[in-house]
Amino acid sequence: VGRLDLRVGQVEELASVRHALDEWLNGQGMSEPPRAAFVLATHEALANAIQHSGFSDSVTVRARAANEGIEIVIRDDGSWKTPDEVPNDERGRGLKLIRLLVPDAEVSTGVPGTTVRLSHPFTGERTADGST
Amino acid sequence: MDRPESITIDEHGNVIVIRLIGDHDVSTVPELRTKLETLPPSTGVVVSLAETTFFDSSVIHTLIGTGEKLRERKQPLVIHVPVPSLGERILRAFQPEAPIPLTPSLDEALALARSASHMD
Repeated sequence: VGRLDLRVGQVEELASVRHALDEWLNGQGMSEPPRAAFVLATHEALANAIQHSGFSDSVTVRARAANEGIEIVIRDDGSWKTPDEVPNDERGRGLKLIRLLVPDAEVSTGVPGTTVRLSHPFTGERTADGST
Repeated sequence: MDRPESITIDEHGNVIVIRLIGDHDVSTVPELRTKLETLPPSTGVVVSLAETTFFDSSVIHTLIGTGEKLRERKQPLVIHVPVPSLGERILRAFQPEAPIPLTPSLDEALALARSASHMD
């Protein structure tokens, strides 16, 4: 219940990943808002990774729930182009959107690949159904 | 977020209304782009996101690009979007230099699309 692991390799799979994540976050007590914002930020990170990282196999989503909050980690083994390398600003909008939706989002690039970390702290006491 | 995606196009007088129904993302945006590029002549265009359950940055990018092309042809683009909503929030954050009008009312969107075309 407290974890969700998904893999995605094509943009056509993004909708099913979004729906699975939305259902899981709802089950963890993340209310609306900010649930839709986290689903959209995760989607943008995945779409960027699939389209621009040159990943070798698949991109992973790992979500974990703990007493202190929820953490979503999107990881690929490729290399994102910087916005300056992209002929239009479509991908730049994706990164900007992630920052807008989750201001504390961490994007780290290394070997191998890029990791996007989205965190949502639970600031109140969670109720029996998981809500805060 | 479980409605099948679809795009409908209707004419309201001399204004074209494009409704994005369900989820729209990078996997469906080619169809949206094709429909937007092959619109019949009109006074203005309204894109309605009132029945859109999800849209991403690729849709925003497409709408902004379409708005710029329509503007060159003196055809205003107006976006009908619920207010307040996440969609409205992100559209406002990505407004181009020449902002695309956003309104929660379809009637107002139609009126704006008609009137804005006479302002240039």
